[in-house]
Amino acid sequence: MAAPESGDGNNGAARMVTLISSDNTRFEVEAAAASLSQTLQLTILDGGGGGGDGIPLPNVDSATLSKVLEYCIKHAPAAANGGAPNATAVDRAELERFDNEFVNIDQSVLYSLIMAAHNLEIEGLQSLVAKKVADMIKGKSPMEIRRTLGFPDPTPEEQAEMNAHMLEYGWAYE
Amino acid sequence: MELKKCPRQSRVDPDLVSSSPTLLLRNQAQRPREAAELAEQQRPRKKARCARLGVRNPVAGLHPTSCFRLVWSLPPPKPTHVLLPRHPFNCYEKDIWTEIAKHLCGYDLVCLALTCRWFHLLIADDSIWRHAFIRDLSLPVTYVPPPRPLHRSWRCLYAAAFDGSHSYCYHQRHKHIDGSRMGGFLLDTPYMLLTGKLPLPRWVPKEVHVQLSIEMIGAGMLHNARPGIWIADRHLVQCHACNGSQCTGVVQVLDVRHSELFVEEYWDGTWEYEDLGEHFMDEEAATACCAVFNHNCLSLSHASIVRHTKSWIRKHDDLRPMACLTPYAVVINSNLQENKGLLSKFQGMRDMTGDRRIVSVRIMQQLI
Repeated sequence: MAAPESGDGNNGAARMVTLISSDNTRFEVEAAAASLSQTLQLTILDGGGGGGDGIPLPNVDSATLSKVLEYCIKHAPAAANGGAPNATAVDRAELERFDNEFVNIDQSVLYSLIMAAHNLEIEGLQSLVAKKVADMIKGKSPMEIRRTLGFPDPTPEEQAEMNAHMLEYGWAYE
Repeated sequence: MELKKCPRQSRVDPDLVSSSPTLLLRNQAQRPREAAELAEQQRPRKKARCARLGVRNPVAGLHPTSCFRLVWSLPPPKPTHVLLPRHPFNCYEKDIWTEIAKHLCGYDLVCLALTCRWFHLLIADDSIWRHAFIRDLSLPVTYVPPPRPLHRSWRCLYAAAFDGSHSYCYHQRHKHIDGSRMGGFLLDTPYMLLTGKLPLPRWVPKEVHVQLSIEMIGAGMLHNARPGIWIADRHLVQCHACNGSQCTGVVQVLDVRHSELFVEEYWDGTWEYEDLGEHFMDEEAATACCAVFNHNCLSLSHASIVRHTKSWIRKHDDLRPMACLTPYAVVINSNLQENKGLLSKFQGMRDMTGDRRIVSVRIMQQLI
């Protein structure tokens, strides 16, 4: 990213906040980055998270939180520019490349990431991960989806029930 | 595909006016057998499905959902049960999966619904189907349509729109050559402007009878179209005037219909297209171009379409058709070979059981 943090937000460029993950690891990030989360934004606007106290996040572990913050730090400058009307195509392409690599991760990480994005209400991250999960499902049969998501094979009763439901969706086949 | 000349010079359309159209009603008796076959399948046969994708598929190229073939009347969705997180994906929340489902097309939604009971209940949520319907018709995803009655769920509507059926499936099927889905547009007024030429004439009279207006200036205003989401398809059909197989005349058809049409009484075959008027251009035409506009947003959509002619008019030696869709208008255009004139026919179909409003319109253009 070429754009330096110049005058982003009314809290000043260098304001830092501290986030505390469920396993008590402390992360110090710029308020602008943490504010991508709707949940945190309110707390930060109220003046929380500064100094020594920090904001506890009991639902997010440190591995996930570091991943979330990686996303936030990368996206904060563009978000501060208000959806980037003056961002160049290069900047956008760079963000896109980052996003693609960002979600190219193990499934278990992906699942905790989507939960964290949901809890912290980070809109961009939510839709990014949702799209990735959707891509994992696309074009697969029900059985393949089960395997992708790591479900056990269906019991005969469950299979019979699903077969019955297939009639409802007859229009989708053939 | 190019428009071809019709060797005969007939301007009447006896086939449409006098004879009853070929009706290919859905075979009720056949259904249980097909249903049983479907039940035997372990999974939807994707390869067979995709093999059917081709230029002749009416909605080819739109989306993977476009491969849908069978037409089924769906039972109303079951009431949404409370979705409890379950093992082994107890970290899964309804909201999260609803968000994920919004990125899936109809076929993938069905596969997900058949994965397990939990997903079946989740996909029964009509908001997912509403989102898919609006997205797959290329309408603005921010558009919030008015709520629908429960017995006509968005899932039913989605199935009716994307099962591969089109208006030539049941009327004059033998004449159909090729077709494609362009998408949907919104009509928030009963006034719909039909035109067989672009740019529009400076003034299209609202009060004058539509037939007169079409004959004189090649454009007319319908004042009793049913508001709602309309679906636009483009078809190539054989010349209507000739019944013989020797005729090589090809007609370009812009077919727009109300999205509810295929979930209504349309299928009983009693509704037919009636002539609204025809316009004859008695000189060489460079392009066959026709469009349908929502009158409320006429100047806006007309300006945007005329401004972006490059996006829907090909180079003059390229005879393939091209379409342009905005949220409030649709236009198709084909460059023409040498000719002596262009005939544009306008037809409309009324809802014969209810308010007699126009629910479908066809603009057919052919060389003379």
